[in-house]
Amino acid sequence: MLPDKRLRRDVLRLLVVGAALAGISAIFFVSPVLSGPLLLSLVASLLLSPMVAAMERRGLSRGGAIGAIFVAITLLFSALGLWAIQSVVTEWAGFKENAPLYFNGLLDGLIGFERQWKARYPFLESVHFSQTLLAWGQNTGKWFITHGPALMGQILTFVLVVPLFTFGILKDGRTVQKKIYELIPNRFFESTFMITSRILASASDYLRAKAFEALLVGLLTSVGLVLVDAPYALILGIIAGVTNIVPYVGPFIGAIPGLLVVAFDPAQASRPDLLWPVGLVYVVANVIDMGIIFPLVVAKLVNLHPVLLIVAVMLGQEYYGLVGMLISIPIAAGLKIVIQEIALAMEVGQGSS
Amino acid sequence: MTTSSGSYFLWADFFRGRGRQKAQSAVEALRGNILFSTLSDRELEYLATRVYRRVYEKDESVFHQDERGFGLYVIEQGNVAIKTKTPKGEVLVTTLGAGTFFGELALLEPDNIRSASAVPLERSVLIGFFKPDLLEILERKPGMGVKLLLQLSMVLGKRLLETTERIADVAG
Repeated sequence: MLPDKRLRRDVLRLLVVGAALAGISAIFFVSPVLSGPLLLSLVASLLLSPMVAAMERRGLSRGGAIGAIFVAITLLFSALGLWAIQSVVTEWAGFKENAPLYFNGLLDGLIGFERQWKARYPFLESVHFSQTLLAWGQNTGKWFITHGPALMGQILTFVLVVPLFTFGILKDGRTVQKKIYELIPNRFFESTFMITSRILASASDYLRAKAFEALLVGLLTSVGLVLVDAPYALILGIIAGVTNIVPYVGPFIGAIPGLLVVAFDPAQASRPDLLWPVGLVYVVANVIDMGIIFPLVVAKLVNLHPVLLIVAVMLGQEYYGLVGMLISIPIAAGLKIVIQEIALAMEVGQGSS
Repeated sequence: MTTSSGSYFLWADFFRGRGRQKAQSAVEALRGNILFSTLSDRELEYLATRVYRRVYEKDESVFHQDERGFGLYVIEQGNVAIKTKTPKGEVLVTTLGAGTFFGELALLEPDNIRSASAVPLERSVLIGFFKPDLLEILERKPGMGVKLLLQLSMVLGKRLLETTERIADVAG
């Protein structure tokens, strides 16, 4: 039998490797310049990975498959995608142009509402929520003006860096992963390998399922808005799809722009009854999502108790806001895998003793 | 200071060279194994990127009986003792040398419980091949995956036949 000295050495080595990896990750994730593009690249590489696998199945090398996908994406964005981008840009331009009108309409409505309530309940005299909202709107506007150039710079960095990082992760991710496994001591290697493989598989399944869910919700919302003849159906559908990625509150956030547009767009003044059908479109899209898409596509993969899901999302929100809500579920699923593996190992250990 | 190839040692791609050497030796070790004998050179090179080469010191356990396991090990160098626990104590089942493999049941068994322990009798180089990588090969290279599974089934069938014959001998 080997002396305990070896066990101590292995544990120490594992801790050093863990600390080194945590330190390197911290450099990447604490620095906002790197963390945003890196997270987005990780998500993009996980989403593109099944396409790479499908092309490898057809006999292409991994490098060839990744290259072909990148060329296809570039062509899609520059040729076929131009039409979609153009229409979104047109809708966005109209939306942006009319946004102050919606804001003013909203403000007028609120001022009238405030007056009514203050006349009815004099103790509200000291509350000035219309003014507060106006101040918030002005401050937000100023923030965009002062931070606009920096924001554009950041977006440009994302556009340039994310494809590079994504290519790198897809091409050499496995090699890096293999190098890291080489540092793990023999006695911990197999279990570490299995746990990390399961966690990575679970996180990529979750992300793909969420992307698919967002696509379906966006599509349902856009089609619904077209059917009720609402304006900006495409852009509002995209907003609903993207915000739907955030668990629980996402669908509500996604519905706000559509409802505001219909309620306060002067162009829709002749159709005051449009608010209800548009509201119904959002409700139906989310009922289909909660009743069919989420249980069939996402919940099956995560396999966590609903209470645990809510607790995870609340904790994520508490510490990291919207991003925290987004990553809370895959992290909770990862923790579940670790606990499951430890429990199984203990069960096997007890059974054999 | 120059290397045999003439380039300066300090500027030579030391690590890449070592990595390539390791990969090449893994390919050679895999080529000589019955499980991978039907794979083409290209498939073997692909497989070499999916396996893990690990060095074990003498008496450093590879795995214990009743532990959860996730894959098989091919012996590239050295000797490994396969032992099993009995009511009378630990019994040596067999000693395996370079070119052989063990732990293959973990690739297929859903519970992944090791039925024996593996301990190197000397400093040994082992190549680990694990379930997630087999599943990935089946997904990405189904033709190669089928070749692997066919060889694995053949080996398991042969071992089952041998075991049945031994039991028949003991019973008879």
